[in-house]
Amino acid sequence: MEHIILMQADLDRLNGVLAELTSLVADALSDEKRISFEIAVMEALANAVQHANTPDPAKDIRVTLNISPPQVSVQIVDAGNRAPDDLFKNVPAPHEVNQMSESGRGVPLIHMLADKISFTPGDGGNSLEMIFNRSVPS
Amino acid sequence: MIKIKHVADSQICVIDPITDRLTAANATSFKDEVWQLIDKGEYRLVIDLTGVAFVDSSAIGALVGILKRLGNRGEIVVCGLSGSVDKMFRITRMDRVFPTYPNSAEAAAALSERL
Repeated sequence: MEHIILMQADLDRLNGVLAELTSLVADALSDEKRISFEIAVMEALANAVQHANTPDPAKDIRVTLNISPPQVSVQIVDAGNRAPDDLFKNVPAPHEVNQMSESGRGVPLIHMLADKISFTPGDGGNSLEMIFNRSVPS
Repeated sequence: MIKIKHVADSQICVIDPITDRLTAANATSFKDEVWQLIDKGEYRLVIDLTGVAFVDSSAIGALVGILKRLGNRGEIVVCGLSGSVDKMFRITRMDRVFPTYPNSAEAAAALSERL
């Protein structure tokens, strides 16, 4: 099942969109996995609003949620500046970020909490797909 | 956005963010309001997250910013962590940066003992 949400690049839209997405996966993920989903997706959406869409806040962020038997996937496509190619390479664990730092935990949280990440930076925008497995592989 | 309560016969201020989601959408205003309290001389703070069901890294950053603003003038503790908020504190190891307590009464009692 696919759901598409177009989100204004506005911080005030974050909580509402996240609540909508979390509601859609409520029956698809375990409580623990849903928490991981909620944190990782919020970090990705916030990054899309705060960084990637800076040049043109009028352009929407496209969020595509897919729920299938083995997994839940979320693709977030912004229309902003090209992000660094190595954004998701050599990512530290969240607890390895300087404890007194007030920023820099978003990408480490996404990297830790999603089961799989596919990141494609582009000149016309960046695409981040996060996959959350619905059951533990045997 | 915040609600504050002073614990009787102490210099302890309990702060309720009055939101169920402390995120990039409101973390900066929350931090600014607590900074104003610190600048007015409130140095013993309990951040009560009992009513907060979700925090993101911006909220964590705001709490670190509050801690840095306070510096060595006082102490800040956190209480009422549950669900995803508790998970966020554990995976970022903020539970080692901020003393945590089950509720505001226990947090205030612990702070009182250290006055």
